[in-house]
Amino acid sequence: MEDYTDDVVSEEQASPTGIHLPIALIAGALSLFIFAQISNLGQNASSMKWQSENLARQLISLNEGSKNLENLLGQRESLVQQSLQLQERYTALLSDIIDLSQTDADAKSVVEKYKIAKQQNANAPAAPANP
Amino acid sequence: MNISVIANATGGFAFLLSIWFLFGSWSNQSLQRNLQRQQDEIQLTQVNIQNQQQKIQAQQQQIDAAAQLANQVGPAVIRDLQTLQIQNKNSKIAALLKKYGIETKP
Repeated sequence: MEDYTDDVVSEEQASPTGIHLPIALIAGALSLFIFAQISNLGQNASSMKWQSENLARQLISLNEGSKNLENLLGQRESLVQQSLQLQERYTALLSDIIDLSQTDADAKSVVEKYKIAKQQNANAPAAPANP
Repeated sequence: MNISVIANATGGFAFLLSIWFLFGSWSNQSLQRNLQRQQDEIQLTQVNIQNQQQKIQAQQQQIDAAAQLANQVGPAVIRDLQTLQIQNKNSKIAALLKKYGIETKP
C-alpha cells in the first residue's frame, strides 16, 4: 500500500500539470464558444429591438389611418342617408311609371325609351339606362 | 503561476459566461414574444382597416348610384314626362307628377 502511494506521488511530481492542462484548455475553448454565442445573442437582440421600434411606428401609423377612416365613414354617413332617400324617391317614381305604363301609352313610351324595368328579386326598378 | 489556478480560473470564467448566456437567451425570448405580439396587433389593425375601406367603397357606390339617378336619368325621365303631359294633355301623368311634387309649366 505504501509503495502504491509513493508511486502516485512520484507520478504527480514527475508531471506537475497533470489533468489541469486539458481542463484549462477545454474550459478556454468552452469560454470562447459561449462568448461567440453571447455575441450572436447580442446582435439578435439589437436586430429585434430595431424591428420592434419599426413595428411600433407602423402600428401608430396604422392606428392613425384607421382613426381617419372611421372619421371619414362618420362624415359620409349623412350623405349616404340623403342618397338612400333620393334613391328611394326615384325608385318609387319609376315604379309608378312602370305601373302606369300598363294602361298609358305615354308612360309606356318613356319606359321603353329608358328601358326601365323592375328587378326580379326586389320591388325597386332597375336603374334605367341612358337613351 | 500554477496550472491548476489557471484551470480553475478558466473554468470559473466559462461558468460565468454560461450564466450570462442563459440570461441573454431569456431576454431574447422575451423580445421575440414582444415582436410576435406587435405583429399580431398590426395584422388585426390591417384587417380592421380593410373592413373600413370596404365600407367606404360601399358608401361610394351608394352615393354614385344616387348621383347618377339625380343628375342624369331622373331629370331626363321627368323632362320627358312633362313634355308628354303638356303635348298630349295626359291627366294620368299630370297626377303622377303632382304626387311627387313636380310642377309642369307649359
